[in-house]
Amino acid sequence: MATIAIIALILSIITGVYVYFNKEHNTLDKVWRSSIEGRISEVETVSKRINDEYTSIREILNEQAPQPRG
Amino acid sequence: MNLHKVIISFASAIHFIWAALLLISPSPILAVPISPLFVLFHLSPITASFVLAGIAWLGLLGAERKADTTAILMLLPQQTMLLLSGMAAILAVGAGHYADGIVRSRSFILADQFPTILLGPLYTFSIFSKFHLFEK
Repeated sequence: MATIAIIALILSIITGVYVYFNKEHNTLDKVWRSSIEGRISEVETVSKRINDEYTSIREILNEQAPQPRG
Repeated sequence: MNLHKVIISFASAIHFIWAALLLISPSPILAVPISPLFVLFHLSPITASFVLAGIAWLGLLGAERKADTTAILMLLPQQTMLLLSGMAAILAVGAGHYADGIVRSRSFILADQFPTILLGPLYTFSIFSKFHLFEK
């Protein structure tokens, strides 16, 4: 009976240690990944806006470009 | 509700009920999952009742807490108790008799005690789930 108590305690300690070390790593990974994905999304939004503005400016310039003579 | 909270709440409910039963009558102290508290630590039924209630409370608090180191420390006593209960059940199956000496066939005891044996690993699974160890 004492053996099972020791085994139960060792297994619980192993569980706790495993969770502790993997928990830290996993949480940081998730926070970092979430932050990077958020930044990527922001950059994509800004990039699309810049692209749209460039396209509209290009169209305006094309309309106002002097017509070739003759 | 998260799965890990369901499992931990279930385990805590069991421990609370055992604690209450031990206050009502001393006889459950020799029930297989509770017997390690008496056989190993020589706790009286009243003391065992408070120990089980304390373990159950810590489990519930740990389940509600965010996934930090304190939560791990709160859940480990209940994990230990469940593993102890499961192993006592396995010993009873191997010995062919319950903790109070009643003899039954091994298959009978296994059928009776299988949920107790299963609950320990299931609780470990719930701890891993709480700390997101299954997510990539």
